[in-house]
Amino acid sequence: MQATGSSHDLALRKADFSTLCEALDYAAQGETGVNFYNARGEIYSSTTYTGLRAESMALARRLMGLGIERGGRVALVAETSPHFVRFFWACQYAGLVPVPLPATIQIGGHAAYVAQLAQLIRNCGASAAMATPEWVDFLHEAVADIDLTCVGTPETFDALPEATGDLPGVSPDSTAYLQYTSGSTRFPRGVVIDQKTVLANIRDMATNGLKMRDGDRFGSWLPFYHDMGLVAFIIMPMATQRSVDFLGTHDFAMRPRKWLEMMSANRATITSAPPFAYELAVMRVRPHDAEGLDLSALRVACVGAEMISPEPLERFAEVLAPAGFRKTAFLPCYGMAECSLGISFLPLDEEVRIDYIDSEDMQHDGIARPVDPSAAGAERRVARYVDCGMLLPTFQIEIRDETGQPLPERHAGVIHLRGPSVMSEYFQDPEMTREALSADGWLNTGDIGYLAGGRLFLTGRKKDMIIIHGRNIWPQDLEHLAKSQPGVSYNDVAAFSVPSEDGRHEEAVIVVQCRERDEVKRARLVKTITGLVRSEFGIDCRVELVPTRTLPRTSSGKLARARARLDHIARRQAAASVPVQPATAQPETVDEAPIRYIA
Amino acid sequence: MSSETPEEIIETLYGFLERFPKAAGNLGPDTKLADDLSLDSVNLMELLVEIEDHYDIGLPLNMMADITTIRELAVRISQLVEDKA
Repeated sequence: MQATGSSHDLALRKADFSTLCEALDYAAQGETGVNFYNARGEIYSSTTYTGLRAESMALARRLMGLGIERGGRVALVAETSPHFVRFFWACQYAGLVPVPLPATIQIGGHAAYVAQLAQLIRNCGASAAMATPEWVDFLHEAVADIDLTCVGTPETFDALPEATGDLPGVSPDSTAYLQYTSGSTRFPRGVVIDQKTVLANIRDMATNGLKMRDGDRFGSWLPFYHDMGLVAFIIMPMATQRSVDFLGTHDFAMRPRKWLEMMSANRATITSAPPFAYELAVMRVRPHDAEGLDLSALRVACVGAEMISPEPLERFAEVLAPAGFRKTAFLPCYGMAECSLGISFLPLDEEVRIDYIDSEDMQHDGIARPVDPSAAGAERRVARYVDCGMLLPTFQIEIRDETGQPLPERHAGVIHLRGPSVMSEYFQDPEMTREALSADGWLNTGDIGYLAGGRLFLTGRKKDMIIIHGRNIWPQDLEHLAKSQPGVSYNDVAAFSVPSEDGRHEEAVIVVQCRERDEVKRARLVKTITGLVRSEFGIDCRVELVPTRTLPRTSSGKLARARARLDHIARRQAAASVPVQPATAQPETVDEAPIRYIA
Repeated sequence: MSSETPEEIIETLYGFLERFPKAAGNLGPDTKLADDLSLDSVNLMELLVEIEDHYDIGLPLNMMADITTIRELAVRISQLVEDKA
């Protein structure tokens, strides 16, 4: 089997379409398409957009026959497979809304995964649900008590009769898809993105962020239920008529080298991943391996979705330089599902740039005062933030203080954005929508950052959000698990993340107020909670037991999570002779270079 | 490699697992991979790669959903090796 080519005669159009169907109708006139690679790195599926359009329209007719109302939701367990892509486009032609659901399970995590699927399917009010044979048993379990019109594998749907008559299609204002952002198991939030919204974002990214050109080719292992995987690698290549190569997320995680090999073999020009993925890949590449790879065509390697620390990127660039990888290909960026995807990108061909600022000024006044890192005295701490580049031109930005007043340059505050790429709402959640989106269209991102010289710097992300290995985890979910233990009451728990001891990652912490004196029972409680967290989220977490009334509360009695975090760090510093990473002003530290003492 | 018994597979798994920090003195057939050894998703992937390479089998994506102990993992591997033969 041969992969689809990178070039064709069809003129490059950068997503200047009014609907996704119109975009696919155009892409189908060319020769590019979508390719899938297996764990051994062999191609097992290759479909041109011409073929994909025909297959999607046929499937759309079968979906039509189910009699689901226009705009009805179709839940898709988003394994990296050609079926997902076909179902995603079929939903568009059928006037239905695809909802990607996570396809990832932890060790012993069967029950937790089924519960998560059920929760999301209920939340989006799906009328139909699809999973490939590997996942369908979980899906059937999840929908045991939910009434759906059709549930099954692709085969189930392909056996449905095709309806006759015109396909309903979509209008620019139709919902294009529902994206569950946080993966939160108990507080799911479905971001509603319309056709015109996602196309506006892709147009902006393709034109101004990536400056796409003929011959561009995408390569990715990112999960399809992740905004970057879905928008940047399923929708964007199609809407710009480019070929894309996919490796399964699981296969990447097992053998990260396969990602590099796939991009090398096909001369991919554009990829994207969280920083940890570059680190993982370089860990598994022996120096002489690089000689067998050719990454000279790779002009854009986006870096986003979690704390960016420059060292792993430098190492990746160094190890893969013999393969022709250029460090200027790294493109730090900032984005979120609520804005379709991309918000800011470092200009092409610039080197990753760090802003060195006075850490104490930042902590006390939120002011990013630049310092010369080499001249800094031993007394002053230096914080480093990665330049996340320039805002895409369709966005308006305001950095606001706590009272909502705009702040000047180099003052850190909450990032507010407005523009055509912003979501219309959180699905059927007017309260959350009102909290995030003002009547005049400003989105409160909850992220903290500052502007300097037209560049955006992120200093803290998503109020309270814990981000580990590029995954967003809500502290409320971790707290819920701890609260499920006997003797732990509603008010006894706080979850947050702190920098790990090497300062390069985040680690989750759950502080639990505990009355138990018996050491054996205390140890068992810690073990039970860490086990629950592991089976549900696949992460290690540190559980700290503290006496009652240790956790700080706000005047209204709410948990003061940010203060709880600083208290925890102070306790660890007091307990250890080795200092742990110093606390930062912001409770969350994503896209932020870890703070170090510079002598 | 085709005819290891589950007991032998358990021994082989000990070999793969001993480099993980919490493995020392903690390896038995009923040791829980997640709870006792604190394997996170990155460690788990390393382990699965070693198993695949050693036994020359492909591990199904969702296999770990219903596996908690070393013994359960060994039994599953032995089934997969048999299926292949």
